[in-house]
Order: sequence, then C-alpha cells, then structure tokens
Amino acid sequence: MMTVTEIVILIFILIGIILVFIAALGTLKFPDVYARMSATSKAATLGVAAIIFAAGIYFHTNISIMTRAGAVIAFLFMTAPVSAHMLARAAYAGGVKLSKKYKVVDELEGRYDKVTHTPSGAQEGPGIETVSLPRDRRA
Amino acid sequence: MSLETIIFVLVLPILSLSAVLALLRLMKGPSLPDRVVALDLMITTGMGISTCYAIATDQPAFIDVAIVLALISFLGTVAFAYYFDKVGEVG
Repeated sequence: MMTVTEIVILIFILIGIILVFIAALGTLKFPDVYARMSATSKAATLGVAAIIFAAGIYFHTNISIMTRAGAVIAFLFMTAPVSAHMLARAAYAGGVKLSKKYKVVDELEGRYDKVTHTPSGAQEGPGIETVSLPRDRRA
Repeated sequence: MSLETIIFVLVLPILSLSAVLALLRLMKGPSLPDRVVALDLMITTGMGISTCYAIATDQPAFIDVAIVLALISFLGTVAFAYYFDKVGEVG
C-alpha cells in the first residue's frame, strides 16, 4: 500500500518519463535538426526537471538534498535555452538547411553573414542595432 | 506495489528505451549538429535514470551524479557549438 506522498512522487515521475520518451521519439522522427533541437531542449528538459522535483519530494526530510534538487532544476532551466540557441546558430551558419517537408520560407536565406553572425541588410533598416564583430575572428 | 518496484519495472525501462532511440539518431544523424543533439538527449536521459535510481535505492548521492551530468552536458554542447563556428561548413 502506498502513502499519499509516494503517489505524488509517482505522478511526477510518470509525467517526467512520458515527456522524456516523447522527446526521444521526436529526436528520432522529426525531419530537421532545428525541429529535433526543439524536442530535446523543451520536452526533455521539462521531463527531467519533473523527475528531479519528484526526488526533491522524496528526500523532503533532508533540507540539503532538497536544496540540491532545486539547484539542479534551476541550472537546467538556465542552461538548456542557451545551449540550444548556440547550437542552432552554429548549425545555421554551418549551412544546415531547413527541411522541405515544412511549408516554411527561410527569410534569412542569402542575407546572413555567416562569419560575423549578423544579417547583412540590417544597417539599412530603421532602428536595428547590430553588434559588429571583427572580420578575422575565424583566422 | 511499492515505489521501488514500479521504478525498476516501468520507469527505468522506458528511460532506457528513450536512450536507445537517441542512440539510433546518434548513429543515423545526417549532419554533425544532429549527432550533438542526440548526445545531449542521451545525457539528459542519463540524468533522469540517475535520479530515479536515487529514489529507488534511497541513496541521495546519485543526485550529485545528476548535477555533474548537467554540467558536462552544457559545457560539451557549448564546446561543440564553438567548434562548428570555427570549422565553417558542417551541413
């Protein structure tokens, strides 16, 4: 027989594994590196955060372990968007195309400076500030 | 049914299956960023496995393993992104 605390823990773990499994399926079946990245960085991060939250409830008698679990969740939520954005930018600059399956127009096509990571038509637009990096950064 | 039994019978197999699906993408992946995404998902699944094992065995030390895996995953992805930036064409 399970107590109420164990049932709450089990519910959070089940939410977590369902989200992680959906993320794994999306990583396998999506046609595009950018779509796969959305599955990994959103669904899998939320699923693992739910599992770690369940662990925080399970160890609720020990404050230090609860704090550690909360710190892991905060770290995950801070780093997952940053790493996904860096990887997507590097993939776009490296020439990975969008999938033809989606009816999406790549509006940056031909207007993106792949060395300095700035849109090349940005200087003419009103009010768009661009950060200019040195040209010879790649060396 | 206790919590340990459910974790060992249901939760850990599903997480392992997710890691295997990510491994298939890691082997197939047409471009290099695909493989990095799959590796990231595998490490994230490993964090989930480690935390579930901490609950099942009542050993809170496995949560520290999840912390270290999160750090390694983030630093590895950032390092791969810098590498793609330096190397140019990766498609």
